[in-house]
Amino acid sequence: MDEPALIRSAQHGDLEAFNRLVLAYQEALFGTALRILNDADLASDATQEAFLSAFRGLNGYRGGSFRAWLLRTVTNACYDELRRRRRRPTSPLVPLDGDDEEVETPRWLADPHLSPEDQLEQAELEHAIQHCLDGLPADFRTVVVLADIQGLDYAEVAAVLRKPIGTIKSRLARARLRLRECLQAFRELLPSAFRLGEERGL
Amino acid sequence: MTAHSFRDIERLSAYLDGELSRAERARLESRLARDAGLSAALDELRATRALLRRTPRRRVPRNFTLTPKMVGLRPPLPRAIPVLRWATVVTTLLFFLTFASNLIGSLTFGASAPAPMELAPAYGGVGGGPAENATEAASKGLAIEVTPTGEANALLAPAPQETTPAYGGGVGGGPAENATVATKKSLVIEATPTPEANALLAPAPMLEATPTPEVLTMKQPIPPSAPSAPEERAAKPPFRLSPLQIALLALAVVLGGTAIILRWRANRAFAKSVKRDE
Repeated sequence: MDEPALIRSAQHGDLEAFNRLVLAYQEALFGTALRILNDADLASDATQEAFLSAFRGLNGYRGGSFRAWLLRTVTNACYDELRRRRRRPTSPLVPLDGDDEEVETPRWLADPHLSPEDQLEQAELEHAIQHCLDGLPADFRTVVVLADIQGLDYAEVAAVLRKPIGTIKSRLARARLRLRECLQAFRELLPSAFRLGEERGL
Repeated sequence: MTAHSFRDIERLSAYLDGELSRAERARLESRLARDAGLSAALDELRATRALLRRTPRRRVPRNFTLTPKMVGLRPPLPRAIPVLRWATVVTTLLFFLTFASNLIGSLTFGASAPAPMELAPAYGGVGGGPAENATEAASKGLAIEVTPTGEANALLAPAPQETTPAYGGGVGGGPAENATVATKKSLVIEATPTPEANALLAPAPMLEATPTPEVLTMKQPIPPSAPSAPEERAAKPPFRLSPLQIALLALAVVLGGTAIILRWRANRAFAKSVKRDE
């Protein structure tokens, strides 16, 4: 069934139709929440909360990019979480076990044929990017996550954040500039990643 | 790169995304061709964007599909329920409407009631009882007032019994029987509800019981307590529901009850289906 038909069914309370949309968009919502919050558990909560509020507020969707509409619910859930976090700054951002090791073992969506070196580099790249993202103000981070990680165009990002395109353009440029400076520090650690990036760029 | 203004960085960033207008793009491209520094800045931004685009994607830890329980989905409402609900409301409203109109009617009746009450003494002290009875009896040249209490009757009974033994049994009965029995006697009896009044009244019929075809009125001094009792009865009719009201009430109960039963059954069926899904 096509997306508009599924949305219409879901708007009439068809939970099964809505769940098909959930399966289609859960990667995008969870991925966005994970990069904004940098915590898999909190990102899961935000994603679940977002789909729940999306189902309840589905009649508020009036056409346009459904992905942008769904991403708006998840960014709102993330902002709520960030506000909570600011009120309780002592809570750890990453769950740690008794030996202060990160409990989380990242599971890659990338193909399992990656060599151990590639996997290591993937882990280092992710760590570097997440580290630099965390250094950005939330508003800049959200814009760059939506545009560069999720691949939304300016109009879609503007729809998600309900901000003028000029604001999106400006925030994205500033975020990229700051990320460029931050990622420079990882250049020695990630030679192939940078090489690849430059090759692709040229 | 640091030499470039933020406006330039913003333009380069938008240029990468293809978000510049045709004119802006042409102007920037001509500048890029001449300015190596600007061109280098563009390359660095492009490399950064490429790196960000290669951010590893994490697999979702679980599916985020919703269950009926999570969304608090309500069971499908049987179609009859909204209809039944409205019918119940309308019936109940009608019931109260008839009740209200009855109340208004009795209030206006209460205001006009004193008129026949005032007339009554002219017929020889027919103070109480149904108005119809009184006029009927009066047309036959008779006015009888039967007290509602058996006590008073018992006190009254000996008096007529002395004069007319055949009459004795009739006094205790209903007004209709009394009327038929009494017409033969052409007797005017006033039985006041209070024993004191009775004591005063008792000798009177015996003395003045003269069989005349004419209406005989007995001007007895009516004790102030005597008319007050029937007056109260007339002003406050006994609380009774009309057949229409009873029917409306029964209908409301049946409609409402049916709606409740239907909903309960729908809820039970839904709960079963949810349990099956889980």
